[in-house]
Amino acid sequence: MQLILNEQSDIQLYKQIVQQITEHIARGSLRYDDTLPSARQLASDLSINVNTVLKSYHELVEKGLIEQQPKKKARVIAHKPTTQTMTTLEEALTPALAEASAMGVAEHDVQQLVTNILAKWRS
Amino acid sequence: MILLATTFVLVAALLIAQPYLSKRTLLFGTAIPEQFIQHAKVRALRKRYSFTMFGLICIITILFFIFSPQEQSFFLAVTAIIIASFLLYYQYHRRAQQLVDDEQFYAGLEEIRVTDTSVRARSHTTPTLLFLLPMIVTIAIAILTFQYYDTIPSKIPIHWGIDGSADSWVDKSWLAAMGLPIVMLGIQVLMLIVALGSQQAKVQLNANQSAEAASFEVKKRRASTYFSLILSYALTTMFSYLQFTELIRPQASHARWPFIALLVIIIGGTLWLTIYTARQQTTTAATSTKTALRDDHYWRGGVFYINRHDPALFISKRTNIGWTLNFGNPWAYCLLLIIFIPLLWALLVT
Repeated sequence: MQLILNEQSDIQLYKQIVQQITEHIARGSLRYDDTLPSARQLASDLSINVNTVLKSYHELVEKGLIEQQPKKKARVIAHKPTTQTMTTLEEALTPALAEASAMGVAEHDVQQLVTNILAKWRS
Repeated sequence: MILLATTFVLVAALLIAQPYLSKRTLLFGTAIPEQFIQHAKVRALRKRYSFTMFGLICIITILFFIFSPQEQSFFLAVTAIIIASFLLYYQYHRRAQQLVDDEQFYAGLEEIRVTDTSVRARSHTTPTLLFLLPMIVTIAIAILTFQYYDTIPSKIPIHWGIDGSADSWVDKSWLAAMGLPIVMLGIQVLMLIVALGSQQAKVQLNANQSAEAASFEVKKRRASTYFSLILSYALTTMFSYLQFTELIRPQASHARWPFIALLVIIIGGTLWLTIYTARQQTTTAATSTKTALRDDHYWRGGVFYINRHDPALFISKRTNIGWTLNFGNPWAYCLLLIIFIPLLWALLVT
């Protein structure tokens, strides 16, 4: 699993880690039961603070993508969409879609966009 | 004599070729972006260093032959060459820093951090058990020494010349009799630490062609592990042989080949590791606008890594050949102590 952090980016470092691990899971380069490196090790490899990595892992736990148990490495958990997931997704998408329709983006363009984005992980 | 001369030529060649053996993104201990590794001024600096080093070695060698071509002054000449290489390196280190600032290599480049979490698992190919076997041999040798203590000669050799003949002795004592097994164990532990360290070391990759960089990291780590393993076995064989022929079953003289073989393994292995690593370095300049994060300020004199905020203990040397410790981590000092205790013991005995 390759991770790239860009200091100059507007996105916070911890957010960049969350996004990239999520993408790895989506793409299948991280599968169910795969372990993530310890926060300490990842922080060392990326020359960043341990707390930054912990924050990323915490967010991934909250999203239900990984599971953390004391004295164990964080691991990826199988992700079957639950009603909770769908609610979260709806909450995340609603403002973006509201904005899209306010700006006059056609429905089929939105659908095309969604298909294109999903295709990135399904190839 | 032939052995000394060969070693000398090899060391001289390594010193002269140094700028071309190390990682190209490192110019005399100063990081330069992948985009500028073939910059005219960078190439000129590398070339000038090699020529100057070559000149210095020639002058010192000629002086040696004119004034006193003896064994004692040979070591003096070697010391002079090593000191000269340090001074020259330091001067070029300053010049390289000046060059990076003057040419503004980092202006307009995005500094990124790249890692690959699969590198460690891919590097781990040698079972740790293989490193524990020589230690069992050491324990067996120690037990044998214990059993045969009464028949051990009253003078125990503690130092051997390059040809394998003992040239220094001490009175018989438990400390002296167990000297070799203890030093042996020390070396075996050190080799294990090097192997584990090289597998666990921090994974920091180039900003460009990171997939290639990751597989290079894996190869580098494996090569280093194999070399430690071979060294551990070679030294164990040699020390066991010595302990056996000098103490347990004393013999008037012993074969010279184990010494020559060991020397060939050490020199040959180092050379192989250096060339193997050097051949895999990227030598083409990158064209993207991204480069690895500049971490020069953590490298004192371009050589010692001191970063208190970095939890890493084992770090790849910046030249890419060999490993070093993060001296900002308190464990580094504990580890050094563990490594030096057997050496202190050896000093105590002598």
